[in-house]
Amino acid sequence: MSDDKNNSNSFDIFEQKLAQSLAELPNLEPPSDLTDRIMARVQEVEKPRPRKSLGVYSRVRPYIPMAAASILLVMAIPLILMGGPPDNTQAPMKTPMVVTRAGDVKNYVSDEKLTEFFQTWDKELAAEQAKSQTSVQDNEPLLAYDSALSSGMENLAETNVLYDDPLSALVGF
Amino acid sequence: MTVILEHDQTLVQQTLKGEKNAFKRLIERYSKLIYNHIYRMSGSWEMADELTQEVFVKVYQKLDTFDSTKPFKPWLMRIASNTTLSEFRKRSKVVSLDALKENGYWKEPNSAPDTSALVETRLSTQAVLMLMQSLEAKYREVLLLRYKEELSYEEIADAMNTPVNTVRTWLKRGRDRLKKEMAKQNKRIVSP
Repeated sequence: MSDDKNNSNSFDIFEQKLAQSLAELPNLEPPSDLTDRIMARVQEVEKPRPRKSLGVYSRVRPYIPMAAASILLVMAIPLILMGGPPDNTQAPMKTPMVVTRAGDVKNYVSDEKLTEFFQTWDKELAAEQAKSQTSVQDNEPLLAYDSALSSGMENLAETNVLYDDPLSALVGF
Repeated sequence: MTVILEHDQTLVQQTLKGEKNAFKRLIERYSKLIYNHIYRMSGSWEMADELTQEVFVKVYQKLDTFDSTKPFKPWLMRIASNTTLSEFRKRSKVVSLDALKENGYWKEPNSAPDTSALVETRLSTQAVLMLMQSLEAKYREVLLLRYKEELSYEEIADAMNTPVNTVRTWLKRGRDRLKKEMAKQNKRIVSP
């Protein structure tokens, strides 16, 4: 408590001395020509100044060409990276579209394409038929078996004997 | 006081009407105050000379914004304060306390630190002023306006464009920091 009081007193003394020291600071006379120099500067301020430019636009104007060039360059970067515009000549041809009188949209196929298609189809059909004939010749034993089986069944029907196994009927049992 | 106040207002009005001599009389009346205040803030005669000119040019340019119902001096001090603090921010003003010794402002102590007696026995008035340069500009200014210019709290608040309670806080902090700085410097010299 007594320390606080001492500190408080100390502070009061300090404040008093500080105030006294600052108050005793001499007020020095400024240079004798200071007023004249200030007035000269005031005159300068008051003189009509050259008309200022039109504000923001005039300050920005010198940079417009550079800004435009920069924008174009930025827009061109994706094209440059992609290797230029897409080459339509290399794109696959799409089937042209036609609109019928009824308003339906259908794929249009040219006559040449149709002729080529049917020729190919004919060839494939002929090849299929030739292949099937060849397969008949290859299967002659099986066909002979079928005919024998048929005749055997007929014989069995005549004798009214039923066999569970048609093969047994063929061999006589 | 009232006469002077009216006279200031009259001079302002005459200046606004284009009478140059009226403004010249305002300069003659207050240039000494501004010049010394800036010197105490900066510790530099050159800066005081330069900024005093700048302050009055600004006053002239902004004179039409001055509220004639209020006293002229706090308004002028506000412009001086803003101009000086702005210049400090540009220059990042820092005064080395070693310069105090070099300039002969610091007297070597003969005994243990005793802050209550420092101002009286070991520091000249100029040394106090120089030691204040180690404070932040706002604390330095508020101490000078209070103890040197003897402005009231309200006038300081007006001059520094800050609330009165802030002025009180800055005054207390300024005193505390100055006291600590003195004790620190004293201790440093006694036991290097």
